[in-house]
Amino acid sequence: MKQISALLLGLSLIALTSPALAAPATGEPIKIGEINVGAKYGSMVLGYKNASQMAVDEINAAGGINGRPLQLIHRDSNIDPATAVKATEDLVTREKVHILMNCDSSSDTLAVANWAAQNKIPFINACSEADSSIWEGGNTYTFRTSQGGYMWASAILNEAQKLYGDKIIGKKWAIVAPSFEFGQSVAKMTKMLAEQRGLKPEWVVEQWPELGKLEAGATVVALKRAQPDIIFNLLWDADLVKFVREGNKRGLFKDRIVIAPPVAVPDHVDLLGTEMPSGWLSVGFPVNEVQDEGYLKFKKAYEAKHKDPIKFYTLTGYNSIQAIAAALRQAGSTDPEKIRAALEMVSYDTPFGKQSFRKIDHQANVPFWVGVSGVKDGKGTLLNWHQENAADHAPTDAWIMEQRKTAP
Amino acid sequence: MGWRLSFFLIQFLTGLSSAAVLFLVASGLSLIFGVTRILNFAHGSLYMLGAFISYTLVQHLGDGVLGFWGSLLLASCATAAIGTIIEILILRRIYHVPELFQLLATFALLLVFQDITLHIWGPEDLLGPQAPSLSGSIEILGEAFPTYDLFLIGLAGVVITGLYLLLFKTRWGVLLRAATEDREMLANLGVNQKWLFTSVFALGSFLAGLGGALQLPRESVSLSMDMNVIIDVFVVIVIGGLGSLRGTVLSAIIVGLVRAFGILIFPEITLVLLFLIMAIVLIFKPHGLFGKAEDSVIASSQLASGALCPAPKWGRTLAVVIAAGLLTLPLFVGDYGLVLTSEIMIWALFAVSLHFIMSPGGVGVFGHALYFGLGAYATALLTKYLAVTMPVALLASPLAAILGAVLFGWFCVRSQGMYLAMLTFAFAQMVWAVAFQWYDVTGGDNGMLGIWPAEWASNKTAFYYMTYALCGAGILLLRSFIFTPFGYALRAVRDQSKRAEALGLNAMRLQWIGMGVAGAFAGLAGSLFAYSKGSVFPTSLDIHTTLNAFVMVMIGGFNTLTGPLVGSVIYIMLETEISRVSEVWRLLLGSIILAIVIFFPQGLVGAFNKRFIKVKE
Repeated sequence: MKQISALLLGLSLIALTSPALAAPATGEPIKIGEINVGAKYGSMVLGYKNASQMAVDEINAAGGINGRPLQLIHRDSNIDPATAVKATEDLVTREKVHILMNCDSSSDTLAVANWAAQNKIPFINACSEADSSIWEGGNTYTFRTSQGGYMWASAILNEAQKLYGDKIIGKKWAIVAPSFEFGQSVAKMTKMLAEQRGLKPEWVVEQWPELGKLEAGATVVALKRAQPDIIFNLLWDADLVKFVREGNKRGLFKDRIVIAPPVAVPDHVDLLGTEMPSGWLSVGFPVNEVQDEGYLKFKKAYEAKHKDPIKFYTLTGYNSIQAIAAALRQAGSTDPEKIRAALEMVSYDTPFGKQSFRKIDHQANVPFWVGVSGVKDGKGTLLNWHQENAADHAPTDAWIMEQRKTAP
Repeated sequence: MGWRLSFFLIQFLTGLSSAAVLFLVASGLSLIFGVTRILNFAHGSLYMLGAFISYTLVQHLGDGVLGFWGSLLLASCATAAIGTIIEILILRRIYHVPELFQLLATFALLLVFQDITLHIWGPEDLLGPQAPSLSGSIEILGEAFPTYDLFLIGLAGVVITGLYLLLFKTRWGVLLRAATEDREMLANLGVNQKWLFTSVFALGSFLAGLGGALQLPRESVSLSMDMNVIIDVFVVIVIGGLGSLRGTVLSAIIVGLVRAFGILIFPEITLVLLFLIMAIVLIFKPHGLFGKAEDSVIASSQLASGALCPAPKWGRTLAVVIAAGLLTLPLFVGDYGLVLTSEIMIWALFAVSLHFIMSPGGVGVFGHALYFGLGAYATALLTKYLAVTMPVALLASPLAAILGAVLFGWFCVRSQGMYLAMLTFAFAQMVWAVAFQWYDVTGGDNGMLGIWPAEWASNKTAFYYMTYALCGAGILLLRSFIFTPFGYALRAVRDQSKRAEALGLNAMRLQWIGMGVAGAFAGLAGSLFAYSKGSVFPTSLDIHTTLNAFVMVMIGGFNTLTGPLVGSVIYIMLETEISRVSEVWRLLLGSIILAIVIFFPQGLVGAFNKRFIKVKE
């Protein structure tokens, strides 16, 4: 017991002192409360954490916000919304943070957004693609710097129409997606847009496995039995791997179009290696091919500091801090209402140029990349990609207003 | 899409192949339970370790025939070695403690292994190679079926045969079966049980490791493998009958097939289906398909026994002082202190309700989260769909929990020991699965948001006072029940059930009512919890919520009255602090739980009482 308490004490000392060492101590720090999935599920958010700390360090080195340094305080949610809410409560009531941000599951993000609105604290959702966080579950305190299901679906369906023309009209579609909010929300947007674009889809089978617990063999058989022409697949990580392997062995993908937005994100590129499926329509982030000047500068700085490669959520961590810093400068105070109002107005610098939040629903005009998955030089990658922007793939304002009416 | 024979056959084989893996892992667990009577959560860790170790070995030995299969075999042996070490270092020290304590200790081990694995292999999923020459598929009635799945089915057949020969044709097998039948008799005959237990543990761990290693060609190796497999495996061995080999075979097949065809026919209710089957089997065959009635003492009655006495004078004074102190707390602490204290009070009420049913009530439940969650969901559903006000919801939630307790409790009190624990677990998981999969009504794992307290209670101080009043009243009421004739009757049934029955006490009905009482207060705690967080999630119904309350009671001590209160204070503070400052909080929490089980099985308050206070016998 003694050793444990000594260890505890040591750890708490390290935790207490390390942020203080990082920031040149000029004035009282402005605190940013950050909630992420935690070490156990940390591979997805490692880049995000590194990059957000890098942005904080850069800003502090340049004199902070009106002389005050920024300070990030982290908490884990363990992908459990109840824990996420508890962590948020802890950050706000105990640590007295001035603003919240997270990189977490969609369910956790919705819960934190709801809590933030009730307690009137501005909150930046950096990673959840479920559009419910800006629409049905959106609120005036929640901002989003991540990509979203609607923009993905819109750009990918364009791409599909470009590639296959009329051949995708009137086809049978299958859906396989994790049962949690990300899957539900992105699938809903895709269904809606496929109808709107006149694709006349017929939805023949839907499978909603519990996240991380896909029974791959049985699910592949169930999909195959429905004989779909197009498979819409939103599986991640371990589920995606199982699905790819079983689907290949059981001939599910033969002569079928597969639309799988997350398949070619950098994290899956690393995980799947040469088993990256070929020709699936996907979004992604070709980290080594994008040539924007600002991005190359960012990449150089990041790689000099961290040995891990840039991942899908790396940029969003960096950008979110830039947005917060810009808003704090604009607000000239740490009053939550003033920060909130400033976030609505500012435009902030990112490696891909200026970004700002859309007035009506607080979505940032982020860039994203669309293409098809494939293998090049013995590595999985996103092929034939091009860049898109969130602002070009948005529903009408009237429609957004209608969605946000039901927001709690 | 008609029922073509080919699809039926393919899905049948698919179900069998998942049954094969389930069997490999479950048979090890079942063997271990048979002789040691420990239901080992850490079996999931061994499965996960098997996968991770074989992944690493394959990187070094190559994915050729020799390298691949050699790696799998070596990894299984390494897992067996790890299992053996666990048995010698830890489990040997807890064979004498109550079964539910053992369950908790092995859960603590699982937590410890999660952090160890994380720190050795890192958080990223790892993708191993396909099995050499088994990476393709063969045609069956025109449909492709993976050859590796066929291999798994065959391998399970080989393992079944091997285990059968081992159990029925060797002296070791005879000893093992004898130990399963009657440990004491075997000991009296002069057999060295120590090494028998260790060897069984090694074999069981080997099978767990093998099951994990065999996943390498099918899925990426990840840190979620342990929890994912262990619940399924529990279901399998409980349905089959704890400790029965043929039961495990049959129930693995049932579970595998139900899964596979469930996905094909009812994809919406796959989760519910599994636990529903478990509950139905336990209702009609209370000891599983092939299990035998436990002749040993009932687990729950070992948790606590003997007299309980009202607090001494100084104790009452102390209680009044603390209560008065809490009343003035808002003068001294800020919002954070109030939020934390409110949370502690809510958990304390929940822990006291669990203590009530387990200790004086003598019912060894393992699914108390069910009533907490029912209360929370009743509050959320009533608020969202009927827009009821907070006082109504606070009143209705305990009623909803009572309804649940009346329904589920009726079945539970007809069961005993580990099976009762597992039946309560099955019911809780069933309701959890409904909350999780009924997306349209309950919001699935998004939960239900915006369940905020009424305007007058929305500031932290007002909410604190409301929680104080309700939890305080609840805790006092539950405590006073213990010293009513009803409470005495419950304890009589617990300690001397036959004698109590002879006196005309209806044991089942008493325990049934006891479950209702405990459920009601758990429901109230759940409702308050919903309001405190402004939201309700399926996790309020899951195994972690049950375990949290369990650990609180255990920290304090089962055979005390103040134990659950002290335990909840310590546990919540500890959990809050550890998870804030440490990357290795699972390791720390697990170690603390293990230390309590091994060194203070009577709990801190129990140890205190024993040392400083003379308990009147």
